[in-house]
Amino acid sequence: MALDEALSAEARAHFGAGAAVESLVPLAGGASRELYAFDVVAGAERHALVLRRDPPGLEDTDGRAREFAALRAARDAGVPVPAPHWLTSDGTGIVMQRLEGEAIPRRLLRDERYATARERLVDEVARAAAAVHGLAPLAELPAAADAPAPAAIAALEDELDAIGEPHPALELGLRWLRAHLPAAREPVLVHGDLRLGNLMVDEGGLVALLDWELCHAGDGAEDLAWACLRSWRFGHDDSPALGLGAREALLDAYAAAGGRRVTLDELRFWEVLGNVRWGVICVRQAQRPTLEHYAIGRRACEPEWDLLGLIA
Amino acid sequence: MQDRPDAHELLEALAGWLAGELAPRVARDERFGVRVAANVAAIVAREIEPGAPGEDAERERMERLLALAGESAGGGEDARALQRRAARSIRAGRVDERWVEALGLVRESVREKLAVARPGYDAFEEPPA
Repeated sequence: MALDEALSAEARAHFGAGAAVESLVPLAGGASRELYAFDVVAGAERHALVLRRDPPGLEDTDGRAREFAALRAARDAGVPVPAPHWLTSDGTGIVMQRLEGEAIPRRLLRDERYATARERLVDEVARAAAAVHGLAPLAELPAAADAPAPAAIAALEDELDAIGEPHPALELGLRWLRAHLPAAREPVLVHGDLRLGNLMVDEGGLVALLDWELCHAGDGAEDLAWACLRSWRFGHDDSPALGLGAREALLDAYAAAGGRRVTLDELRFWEVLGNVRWGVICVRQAQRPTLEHYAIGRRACEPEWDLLGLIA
Repeated sequence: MQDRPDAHELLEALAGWLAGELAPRVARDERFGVRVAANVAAIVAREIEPGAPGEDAERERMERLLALAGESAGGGEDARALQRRAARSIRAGRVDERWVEALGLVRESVREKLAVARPGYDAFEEPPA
């Protein structure tokens, strides 16, 4: 069935028999997702929507179900997210609210029109993160066998072994992590990919946290540290938090918003882990023979360099 | 034996043309792909530049790293095989006692990768603990 017919049937099920799909257009998605914009007209109402779906050959219906459940839980908890509408009937896509704003980091960091947003974002992201981390892990997420930190280390070691390419720098990071384990914590819902490139922002500040596909049960400090990785500071190396502020500012705002008091040492642990994780992702991308994936493969040395600084 | 320009020069010129001439002229949504292509050509150009450090330097560093773990590394193992052994030794904790030296050797390995893949990235260092 053609995409517009499938969406029309789903729109009728969701909004009522008179609902019609209009203005369906593909948007630039990214390496791992297809993205479409469309409207549903139902009576006097017009709903601006997007469909994010797995490309052919990369269908992950469990992953989409998890992402949909996380969006719904976050929305119910008052976290700014695109309102989720429905999972497509084949389970490979999510239909959600289409938001207006900017998500391209270099524009957010440079353009004058976002000056006010830049002043607010560290606080607003800290507040949103605290709300996410107030949620218990969803029933849809795989239960961890261990506390978040040792479970994350073991998962990275396993993945590196499965790929089978030696990376002494990543091994030094993993070894350091094992020697610096933080206190065991109850897992909470973690966004998993919290960084400037996954925020929808307008002139007034944060509009929504996007891209929940890496959400998992973990430690809230994990998200804060991921937001500090140098790979997404876009040259603003001296402003670790989102490329916009100091680590301390992020941690203070998080605690002020009801999150727990995360120490700089805990943050460092999760930054090292985040760099190892980003390195492993780069190594994994190199297994896919396209120009873009190969190019990411050669970026593994960036988080390797950063983690060696952090553990020196 | 080929005439000049050599492979390094050809790839450098290709990278320059992709980024400088082609990218500005293609549609916005295709520009990213062209920039990736330019970057890949530039990486290969640096990698095959005459005099660029090759496998020998890495083999020597990995032999020294294995020596820190008390392991010998004689024989005809290539750099990748030595990296594999070094990775296992680190994981098993066999360089824990010589941690600072091990960090220093691996740091040089990573620096050499950056010089090809992302020149200048090592100008900034994350603050140590």
